[in-house]
Amino acid sequence: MSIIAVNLTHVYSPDTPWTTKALDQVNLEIQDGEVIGLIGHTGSGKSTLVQHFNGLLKPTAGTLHVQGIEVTKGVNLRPLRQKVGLVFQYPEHQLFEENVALDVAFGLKNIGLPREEIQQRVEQALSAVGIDYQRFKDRSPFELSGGQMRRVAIAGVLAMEPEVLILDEPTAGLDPHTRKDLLEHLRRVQKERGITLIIVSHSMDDIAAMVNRILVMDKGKIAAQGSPGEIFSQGEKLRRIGLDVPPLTQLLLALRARGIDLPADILDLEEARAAIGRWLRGGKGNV
Amino acid sequence: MIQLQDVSYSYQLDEEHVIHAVSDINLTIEQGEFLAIIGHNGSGKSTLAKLLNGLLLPDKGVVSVDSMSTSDPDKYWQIRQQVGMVFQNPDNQLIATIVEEDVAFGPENLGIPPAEIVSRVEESLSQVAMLDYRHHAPHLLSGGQKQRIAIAGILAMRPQYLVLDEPTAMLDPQGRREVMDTVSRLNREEGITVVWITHHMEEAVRAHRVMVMEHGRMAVLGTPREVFQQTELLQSLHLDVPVITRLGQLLAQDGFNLPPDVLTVEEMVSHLCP
Amino acid sequence: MFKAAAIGQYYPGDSFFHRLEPRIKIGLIAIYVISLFLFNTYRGYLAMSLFTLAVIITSRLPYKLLLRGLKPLYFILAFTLVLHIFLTKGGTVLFQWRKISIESQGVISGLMMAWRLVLLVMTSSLLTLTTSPIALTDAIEGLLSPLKPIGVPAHELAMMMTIALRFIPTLLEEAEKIMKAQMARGADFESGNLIQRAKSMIPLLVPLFISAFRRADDLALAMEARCYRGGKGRTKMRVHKITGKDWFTLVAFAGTVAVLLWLKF
Repeated sequence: MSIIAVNLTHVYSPDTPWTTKALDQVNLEIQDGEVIGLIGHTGSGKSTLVQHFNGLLKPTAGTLHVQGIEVTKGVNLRPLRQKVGLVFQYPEHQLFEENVALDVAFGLKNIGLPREEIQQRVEQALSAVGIDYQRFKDRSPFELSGGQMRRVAIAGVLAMEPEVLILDEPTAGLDPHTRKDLLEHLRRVQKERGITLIIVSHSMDDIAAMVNRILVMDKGKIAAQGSPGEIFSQGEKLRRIGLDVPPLTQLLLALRARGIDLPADILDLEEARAAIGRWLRGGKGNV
Repeated sequence: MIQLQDVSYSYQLDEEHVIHAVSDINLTIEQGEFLAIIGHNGSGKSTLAKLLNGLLLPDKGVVSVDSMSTSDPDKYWQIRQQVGMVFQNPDNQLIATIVEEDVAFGPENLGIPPAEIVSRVEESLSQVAMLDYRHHAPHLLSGGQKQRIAIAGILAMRPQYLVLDEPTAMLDPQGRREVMDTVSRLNREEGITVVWITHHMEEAVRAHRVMVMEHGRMAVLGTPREVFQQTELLQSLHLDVPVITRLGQLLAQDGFNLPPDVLTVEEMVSHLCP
Repeated sequence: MFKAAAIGQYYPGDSFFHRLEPRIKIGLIAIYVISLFLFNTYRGYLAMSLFTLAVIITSRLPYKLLLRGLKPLYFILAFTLVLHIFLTKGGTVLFQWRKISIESQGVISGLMMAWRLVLLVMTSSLLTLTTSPIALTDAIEGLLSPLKPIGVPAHELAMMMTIALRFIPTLLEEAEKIMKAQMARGADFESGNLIQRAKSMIPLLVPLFISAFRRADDLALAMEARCYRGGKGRTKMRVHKITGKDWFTLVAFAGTVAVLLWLKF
């Protein structure tokens, strides 16, 4: 099972003066268990693309198969929504129940699971994002801190036990510490359950280390794809389409531009330290 | 000059719980300065911002703007005109359905004559490079553009001080750059004093001084170089040290001759290949 | 789903009617509406219809836009027509079945009433189509301000309208986003009976209200930071001046209508 898009095109408000082509003949394939980073600036089409993956939007042209189901008009897509969990940006804004446990259980009730299973899944989902079930289950979601609310909202989708989990800007607005911790939990969930994880973002800095592959979107097309190292070493191209290059990559690219033979695809601080150290010891520098 | 003397502020959560959001802050913000205030969520930095223009009044201590105390009811409006404030969510601070009408909102409140409002609106919009959008509807603009409109709305009141409370938290990298460049330029060229609140370390690199907050207190205050050297302190406060500074320190540990306060990629390059 | 947001829809243009001072425009429409109820002859209706048609043509408004404005009215139009046809008696009997009869007077008054409604709605939508929301709120504030001494909060009402117009698109966008997010969690907004459907709106409405309150909080703070303290001592960037031409238009229209009424036209 996987995600396969062939010439996937989506046009908003067709036949009106404000018609826009959000996706333009996108071709891609995502395998089971992959961890994908989808980057692009605001309006590049990345949100439109992932809303196709669970059938919230349907292709205007081209085809899309997700986990063996064809996403097209006239097909019942509710089974697909269970297989593909989509967490929107600022998901804490969708909380509405009187307590944490009920909010996480919302999706499970919608698919009509028995009570015992609901409770079990709620417990598991909360612990997967680092929220203590016993301590938090009866608390109102609106009394929690921003980071905790975000986790509870993500647990609401995790509880559905999706095969593909998509998160749109999961760390937006969180401080560095909370950001790291949340990503840590997501990575663990992905490993334990072997699910496909797609993280949508405009800055890949902090998730570069956890993804296998990055897809770069621009103007509704896939502008580039490859390993994080391969992608970031194309610094100029990324900047041209309005994306940030991590500082380490910037440094390595700047050094390479001065004719120094260092690899451009290092993302890890320790690796960079070792590589630059080797170069300096090689006597090429005069520090 | 904005002066804070022993300033404290607490919220009464309910009968028993009081949150000491800001405690015993002493700080002088000089004319023309660019001060960055850093801290994680809940460290009290937003409360501090609202104390600077009298949106909140200190429980204890004095906040004074050009020797006017924010607690003096006669000076409320004068202080708010002098200390302009930009907030985090660009959508929630634009009032009108047309860009130029929104920018006019502040001067209208101040009772400025119509002809002068028009010229102020034009001037402010060109200062943030948004004059071409004067007849647009704000909800159709990008986040960075909206934030620049919000800044223009403040500039039109002709303030001395600009306080920005996490102005980039909801923006994409491009929007962030736009807003940062705009504010840096206003500080450099127009001499406007800037207080920039953020949890992004990289944004604080451009400041003249950085103040780190923790539990409502000032944890450290100094130039970016002085502050970012204190790697262990920052990490214990759950803050990131700019990765370039960190790299410099690690290389220094390995015996290479690098200072502990390298801040930017350009600096690092010039150290490595002089 | 929420795309049909036609509130405050303004169709920019530079016609005579576009350029009229908004307060005068409101005055014209008021006179029009009152006289519409005073006329009850075919010729009177014809005259009023011609006025409307003239404005539509000279403002170069697309007819489609005006017809779309009538859409929500179809039901009421049909209802009015049916009510009059069956209940108003008089004239010749056109149709008789047991106790139910349709008489000519009923058909005539039904058609007249329906036409009156069409003219009413079309003409009022001419106001919003040719006047920008800001000019309109300014005009309402201007017209209401003489009533301030008797406690009419003219400035506050105008400010509320401005903010509502500003936030309607934002909140619609947000509603759509929340709806999608809950659908991704298996929520169903479309099927079930009335009670089930009302209940299924909770996951949409609760977050929407919370967000609206949060926005209101933020906005109040931002307004205060920009020295907002009510309408007192406030100036306006845009000053609307009523010119001689505006007054002339108002007087000419009022005069024409008065003469027509006096002649029992």
